[in-house]
Parts: sequence; C-alpha cells; structure tokens
Amino acid sequence: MNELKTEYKHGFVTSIETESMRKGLDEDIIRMISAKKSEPDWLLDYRLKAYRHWLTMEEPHWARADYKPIDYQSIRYYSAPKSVTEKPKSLDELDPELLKTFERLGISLTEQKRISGVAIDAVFDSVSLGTTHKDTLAKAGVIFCSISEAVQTHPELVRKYLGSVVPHADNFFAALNAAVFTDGSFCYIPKGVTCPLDLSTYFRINAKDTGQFERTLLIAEAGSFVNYLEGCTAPQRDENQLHAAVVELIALDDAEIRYSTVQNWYTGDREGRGGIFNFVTKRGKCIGRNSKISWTQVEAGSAITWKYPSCILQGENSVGAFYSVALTHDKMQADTGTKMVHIGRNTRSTIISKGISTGGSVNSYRGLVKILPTAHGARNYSQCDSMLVGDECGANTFPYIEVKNDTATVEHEASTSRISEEQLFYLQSRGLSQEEAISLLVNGFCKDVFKQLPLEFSVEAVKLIEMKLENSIG
Amino acid sequence: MNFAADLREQLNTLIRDASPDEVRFREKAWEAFKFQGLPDKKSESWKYSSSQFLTSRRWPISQPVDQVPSLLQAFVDLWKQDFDPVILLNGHLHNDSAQPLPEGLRVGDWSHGLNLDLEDGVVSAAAAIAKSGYAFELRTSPLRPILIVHWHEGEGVWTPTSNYIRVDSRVHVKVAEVFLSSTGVYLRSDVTKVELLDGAELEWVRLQQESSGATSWADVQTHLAADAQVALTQINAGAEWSRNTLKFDVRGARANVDVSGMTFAGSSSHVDQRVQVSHHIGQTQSTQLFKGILKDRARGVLNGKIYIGPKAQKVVSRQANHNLLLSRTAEADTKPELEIYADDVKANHGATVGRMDDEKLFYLMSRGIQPTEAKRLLAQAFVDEITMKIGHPTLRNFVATRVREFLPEFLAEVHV
Amino acid sequence: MLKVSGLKACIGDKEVLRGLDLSIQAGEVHAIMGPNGSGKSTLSKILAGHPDYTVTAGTVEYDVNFKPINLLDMSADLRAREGVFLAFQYPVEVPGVANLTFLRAAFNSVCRHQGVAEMNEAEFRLFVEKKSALVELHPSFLERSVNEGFSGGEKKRNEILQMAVLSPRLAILDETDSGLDIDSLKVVANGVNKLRSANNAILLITHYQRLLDYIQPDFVHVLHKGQIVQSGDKSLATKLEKQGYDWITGANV
Repeated sequence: MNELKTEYKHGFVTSIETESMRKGLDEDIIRMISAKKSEPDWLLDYRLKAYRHWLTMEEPHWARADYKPIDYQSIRYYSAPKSVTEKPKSLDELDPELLKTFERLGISLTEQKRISGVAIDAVFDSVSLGTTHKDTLAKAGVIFCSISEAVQTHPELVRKYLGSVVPHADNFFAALNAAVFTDGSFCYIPKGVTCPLDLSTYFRINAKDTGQFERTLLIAEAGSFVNYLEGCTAPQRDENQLHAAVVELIALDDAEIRYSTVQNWYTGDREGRGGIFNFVTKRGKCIGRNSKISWTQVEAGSAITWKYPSCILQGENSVGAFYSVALTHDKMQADTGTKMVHIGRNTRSTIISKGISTGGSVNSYRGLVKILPTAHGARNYSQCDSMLVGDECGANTFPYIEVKNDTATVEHEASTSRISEEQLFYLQSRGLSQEEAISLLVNGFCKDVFKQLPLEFSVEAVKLIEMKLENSIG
Repeated sequence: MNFAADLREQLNTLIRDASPDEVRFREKAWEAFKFQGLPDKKSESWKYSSSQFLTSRRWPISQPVDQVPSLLQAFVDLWKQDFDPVILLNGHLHNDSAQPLPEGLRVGDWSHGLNLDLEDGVVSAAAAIAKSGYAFELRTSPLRPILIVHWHEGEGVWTPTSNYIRVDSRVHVKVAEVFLSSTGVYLRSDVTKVELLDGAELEWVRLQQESSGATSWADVQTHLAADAQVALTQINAGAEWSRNTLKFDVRGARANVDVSGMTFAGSSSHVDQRVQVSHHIGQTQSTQLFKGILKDRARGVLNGKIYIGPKAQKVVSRQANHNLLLSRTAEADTKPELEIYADDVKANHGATVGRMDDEKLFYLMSRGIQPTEAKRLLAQAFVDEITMKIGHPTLRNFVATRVREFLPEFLAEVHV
Repeated sequence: MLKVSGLKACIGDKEVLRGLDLSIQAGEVHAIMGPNGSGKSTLSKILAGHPDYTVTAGTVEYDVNFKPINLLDMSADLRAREGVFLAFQYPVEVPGVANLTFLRAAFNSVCRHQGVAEMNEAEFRLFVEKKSALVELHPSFLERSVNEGFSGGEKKRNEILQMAVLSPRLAILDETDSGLDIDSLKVVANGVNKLRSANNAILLITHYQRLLDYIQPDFVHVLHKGQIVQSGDKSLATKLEKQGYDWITGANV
C-alpha cells in the first residue's frame, strides 16, 4: 500500500461526514438534485428532457477502449460534505479537513495562503466549496463562481448559454451530464476585459461509488481574454468511478479563451483494477469574428479517457487550437483528440498531439477536421506523433479529414516511433541514467505542447510526466 | 424479393452442377453473409460509403458473351505486341484458339477461395455468387507481362468475379489489369486473392475505367511470404460509384509492399479507395502513396491504414495521400490510420487537401502558357509521381498512355 | 512602349500604389529604386498581371503592333505572349514539371501567338542548350523540375534563361540582384546586357545601386509611398547609394 502511494500521491481519502443521495438514477433523483440546489423550473425541465432522451440512447463503444459495462444504477449521483451543505459563509470557515485535503493537493484556499495571480474554484464531489479572489474579479466585472451559484445569481446568462454548445442530446455521456450535473464552474468575462487573474477549477472526487458530473460554462464577451486552468485528482479505490463532465466555451467577437487541463485522475493499479472512467465532452464555439479558443491538455490519469475537446469555428477569421500530451501506462486506455469544424471564412485551426504509451497501455488519437462549404480559405495543420516505450503497448492514430471547400488547405502529418537508441546512448554517455535520459527525451517530444501552458502549470506538467515515466519504466 | 433471398436463389442455380470445392466455397461465403448481413452506416469501414449499392435495385447476373466486341478487339490488338492478353467477357475467360492463353492459367478451380478473408457481408455476398474469373498459378516467370482485360456487357446487370493469382518461389510476374465496358449502368464486383510465396515478385497495375454509369466494387487480398515483393498501382478513372479495397497481409520477413494509386473523379461520382497493410512480422516494409484529383460534385474517399502487430519490430512504413480539389463542390475525405503495437518501428503518414497552387499557375502563365495548359501541366506533374514509380517500362507506358489519353478531357470542363 | 498614368492599386484593404506615372520608350533601360515597402515589387506584379492586386485607378498602356492597348485588360499569359516578361524576385518551384517541358510549352505558346512555326523537342533542346550557356547553367538543369532544389543563384539564372528563350520586348527584373554572389550577379547582368537592343526595353527594380554597376540604366526613378518622387540619370543612383533614402524620403515629407 505504501509503495503504491508513492506512485499516486493524490490517492488518499478524506474522512469526512458526507450527505449522499441513494444509489441509482431515476426522475426522483433528478428532482432531488434540482431541489437540493433550489433550481428554477426551466432547469429541472432541461434535466428531465435530457434524462428522457438519455434513456433512448445507447452507450457508445466506438472508442478504442475495452471495459465492463457500467451499471448506472450502482452510482451515487450526489454526494457532498455535510459541513458544506450547511453553507459556511466563506472559505475560511470551511471544515478544516477539507482545507487540509486541498493543502495536501498543493492548493491553499484560505485567505492568507492562497496563490496570488490565480483564482480557484474548488469542487469536491458534487459541490463547489467556494471561489477565491472574488473581490479582485468583481472589480473587473468578471463573474467566477460555481454553476449552482450562477443559476441563482445570473439565471439569464446560464439559461441563454447552457446547452448552446453541447446540446442535451449531443451524445450519451453529455445527455447523462445534462440530467444529473451537480457542480462545476461558471465564468463570465465582460466586454473588453482582460481577466486580471488566471481562473482555475480544481476537481476532487472523494466519496466512494460516486460519479462526478460537473458542468463548466465559460463565456468571453467581445474583446475579452481569459486563461482558464483545470486540475483533477481522486483517491485510490478498487472500483471504477465515473466522471462525465461537460464543458462549454463561448467566444464572441475578438475574444480569446485559453483552456488548459492537467488531468491526473486515479488510473487504477498495475493490474488495471479501479481508476476513473473519464468520459468528457468539451467544446468551444467561436461565434464571433476573430475569436480564438485553444485547448491545451496534459492527460496523465484515468483508467479510461474518452475526450475530444473541440472547436466550432463559426465566426469569420476565428482560430481554434488543440495541444495535447497523453501519457498512458500499465493498463490505461486513452482515446483522445479533437474536432475542428470550420464554418466561417478564413477560419484556421492547429492540432498538435503527442501520445506516449508505456507498459501494457493503449493510447489513441482520434480527430476530425471538417471544412464545410462555407469555410472559404480555411486552413488546418495537424501533427500527431506517437511514441512507444516498451513492446507491449499500442499507439493508434485515427484522423478523419473531410474537406468540402476547394479553397481550403489541410495538412496532416503523423508519425510513430520510439526513443532513438542513438539519442539515448548519447545522453547516457554523458552521465545520465536511462530514466533521466528517457525523461529528457520525452520532454523534448512534448515541448510544443508544454510551451502552450501557463508557466506554473507547465512546470507541474513536466514533473507529473517525469514521475509517471519513472514509475512505469523504472 | 429481398437481396438475401435473391442471392440464395442465384446460388442454388450456380451449385447445381458444381464441383465439391466450388460448392464448399460458395456455401462458406453464404454462411458468412447470413451471419454478417450487409453493413450499415454504424460500421466504421462504411462511414463514407453505403452498402446500398447492392440493394438499391435488383441486379440480375449478367449473361455470358461469346464474341469479342470489335471495340475490345481493337484495344487488345493495340497492346498485344507488349503483353500476353487474357480476356474475360462478363467474368468468363474467353478462349480464343488464335491467341494461345498464357502459361499457368487454369479454369474452374475453386480450392484457393476457401481462405479468402470474408471481412463483411458485402465481400461474402460477392464471393458467394462470383463467376470463375481467372486463376493463375505461376511456377515460372512469364517472358512477357500479362494483360488481363475485364469486359462487361449488358444493361442493369451484375458481373461478379472471383480471381486468383499464385506466384511461386522466386518467380517474377508483371500484370496489367483493366476494367472496361461498353457503355451502360451495371454492377461489377471483383474479389481477388493473391498469394506470393517466398521471394516471389509481382508488379501489378490495375486500371478501373468503367463506364460513367457503372457501380464498381473490388476487394483485393494479397498475402506475402518471406522476401516477397508486390508493387501495385491502382488507378480509379471511371464508374459513378466505386469502392476499391486493397489489403496486404505481410507474413514473411523482409517482405515489401509498395502500393500507390490515383483517383480521377468528376460529375457526381463517388470513389472510395481503401488500403490496409498489416505487418504481422518484423523487418518488413511498406509504402502507400495515393493521389486524387476531384472536380464538379465528386467525392473522393481515402481510407488508408497501417497495422503493425505485437512483436513486429523494425517495420518501416509510410503512407501519404494528396488531393487536389478543382471545384467548389468537390469533396475529399481522408482517413489515414495507424495502429501500432510494436515499439521499434518507424511509421508515418501525411495527408493534404487543397487546390492548385495559385502562385505556380501564375508563374506558368507569366511565361505565356494558357491557363488550361498550365493546369494540365500541373495536374500531369501531380500524377506523374505515381506513374514514374512503376518500374517495368511496359507497365509504365501502358498507364502513362491511358492517363495521357483521358487527362486533357478530364480537365477540360473544370471551371476554377 | 509603356505608359503608366496615375496608377493606384491595393492588395486587400491596403493601398500600395498611390498615383504612379512612368513612361518607357523602346531601347531604354529604366531603374526603379526605393526603400522597402515603397511599392516596387507591387508595380512589377501589376505589370505582369498578378491576381492578388487590384487596380483602383489609372491606366497602363502598352504598344502592340505600334498601337497602345490597355495592358490591364489582358490576362497574365496573354501579356507574356505579347512580350512582357517578369523575372521574379522569388521564382516559384514547380515540382514534377521538367524545366525543358516548361520552357518549350512557354516558347511554343509565344510562337503560336506570333504565327511562327513551333519547335519540336529535338530542335528546342539544341536551341535552349545554347541559351543556357549564356547564363552558365548546365544543360542537366533542363531535366530537373522547375526551380525545385535550385540554389538562389540558380533560380535567378533560370529566370534569365527563360527571358533569353522568350526574348521579350519589355523585361521587368524584380530585385534580380538580391541574394546573389558577385559571380552570379555578373552572369545575370551579362545575360541581361546581351538582350539589350533598340527594339526592347528593360525595367530594373532594385534596392541597391550595385546591379547598376553592371547594367547601366538610362533613367533612374525613386519610388516612395507608392509614387515616383524623383527621376534622373545614373548619377541619381550614385547619390542614393552615398546618402541613403532618408535624403529623398525626408525631402518630400
């Protein structure tokens, strides 16, 4: 157990009194969630509509991942620390156990110690514990709070944009999320505002048998800019846990959203027991002219990842980007990539994907570049590289390119290779151990993605990859 | 009557006087078809094409043809200086006493068909009712390249064939295969099994020039033993709807696959080119190079795949697909896949879609060359890369001549 | 032979030429000099008919059979057949099209236009091999793809070879000297000088005076902000070389 802990240092459990709903999913559970959050009728109706549609859908299995069928009736759809449901007034009044939990994860929520320059929304199981730096943000007119709070305080914005990018019937897991989503972040950047702080949400799953269904909605008004960061961890448990999030981004004229994720959910043990099923729908819509959305992700956790952060490039000259590093080890299965849908004139997109497979894992890139007839002068460049470390893993590349406009230019490159023996030997001959040398070379391989991350995040990502590599190839 | 019942009825007629091998072959394919059914849109490999081409109308099987039509005779006469010709009329070998058949050609043998890969219900259905096609067992290297001409006659009918080529150890063969017809609406399906034994070499060009109303479907399965080599060039230049699958099963060390192709599609035609190279053993190599020129409302699909199995170390594999769109309404869909389970390999692919480079066109025009001529030069250069890869001069000349014949006409109606 | 009057042009939304006047007679060599961004290359591209530029005002008259016609009405290829030649600043690479094929296609299209007999491949090869000697390009370059993998100097020599093959009446050399070592510069200048005659004209576009040491111009013009702000003889170039462009651009502010 101790040995395992060193491999996944976020695997601890917080013992705290929780208030959970019974296991299983039906209309009553949905009504209970909605009532718990004192939601308006339109939102309950939205949830029920999604649920009813979900019942008609089949769980998709086209992703290159093998897993036992999920029993949706054995999952708890709501779980929250009791102390939180009784509504503490500020983060400083939070249960010390919760504060300690986030301290251990490297995140201070209390007034004195919190990180300057980054505002954090801390989500624990089904609820948001609170958001830091609210005053600074409020001065700039930025709204950053949990989505449950936004439903109460800014219902018109939530109602206008919720489901506008990922409709409730979009896919199986998005429909499930729309029915049962509990918490997540809401961000609104007003016209012309460059968000004075980076915004960040930290997701933590703690309770047993609980699924996390967070919902994030980010709206950047004309001419605004925001850097958004997202981190995730969960305890080490033998059972699989489901995480089915939906993230919607909206960028209006000249707005720019940079969304970065470091995903480090529990992966399961070496034999593939336990771990998070990470089935996520992330999509951004560049509605405005010259708007920009970029997704940067470092995917290093979860037993199974099924995630395709996408961009709908509707506004003229809008720009989409996807930068990804996915590292898989042991029995992990990652199926990740992006969709770039070009609708507007002169829309541009870039895809850089780096997959590293080790152990007995399978790492797949799946992407779609679609140029519609209206997208005159659209351009896409994609580069998907895979690296295999060890001879029992797999690397797949499934790019779909659909071009319906002759003025478009689409270029796609992909390669699969392993670390070159010559490079390894060269570094080792200069005194580096094999692990250090591999780590260095993998970092070099991922450089183009890491440099897209904000500095602190980039340092964290490099460390995470190094640690994971050490454990999987050492 | 539905497709399955119809198929079974035709099958019953076919097996009435058939040899035990043939009956086993057909029944096996039928059983597979019954189990698989026809693939629908959910099937990954049928994402861009629909299997409805088989069922959208009733396709009675084409009738035998006795006489070589004069158009076909003229074509064969043109090329018989360079090739040993083999003629198939509606799927049956035409035996002309004046022109002796090449050595190694056998008729009416079905034993080879039993290890055909019945990937989906379409392959199974096409195999179950296939006509005998050609079967080559080449024990010595033929002196001259072989020209196989598939000729179709008849409106609204289906010519299904099943073919076989076996090339023995260290035997070298050059084959040009061409699919032609008198004009019309018809369905052609063609299943071909190729076995290359140790050190066998096959250089092969396949030219699909069906009539503009035709539906053309082909599935070619090539099995390579150690040191075997295949160089296949596929040209898709006809048919209203076509799907062509080229599969290579690399099972022997040092085997090499070099496959390339060109697609020319106009009006509202649909061309689905599939290529799959599976490396099951290490130290093998493959390259795929495919190009498409699409105009009008045509749609070109390329589904290319490199599979490298566990333990197949030191495989080197490359794949490239380039498309030129010549009109606003043409569409190119490309899906170059890699599926790799061995770590010491080199595999890469690249794909591009775009239109003719304006700067190049302007440069040529600034030297006085008319726009149509400039476009032809650039298009010719685009496809020459494929033609020039053909090693044997006779095969290369055959392809270059055919392409030169239709390219100006193909480009003539384009409005850029 | 060429009369440009009040020419205004833009690329996209940006106005690059703002009322340019220029008159060139047969037998003359003109040089247009100017700082970066003054519109020099734009002028050359507009004269050659590049589709990216839009002419918003002014006229360009070019003599065909001793009659002035509107050059702007003609497509790029027709202008070339009528004897307008642009030596590109950045010659375009055309992979897969052999230099010989390209040159012959161009040459024969001009022959057809003039009603002169076309050359077959053998004749043309002999003809073009002689011309390549003029620019010191080895005949093996004829078999290679147009400009593909050529060094900067080789590309420029190839431009002059094309000029020698097509023998234009109006040759425009856009920064032909840029990026050339001194040997290539001499070869290129020599090639250009051989083409000088009483019947044709040359327009040199250059940033530096260096080229003018080898190809003596009759007139020198200074282009600034899309207009010709000063004209003179060869001595103007020498003055510019000594004093820089500030003198001229400053003088007009």
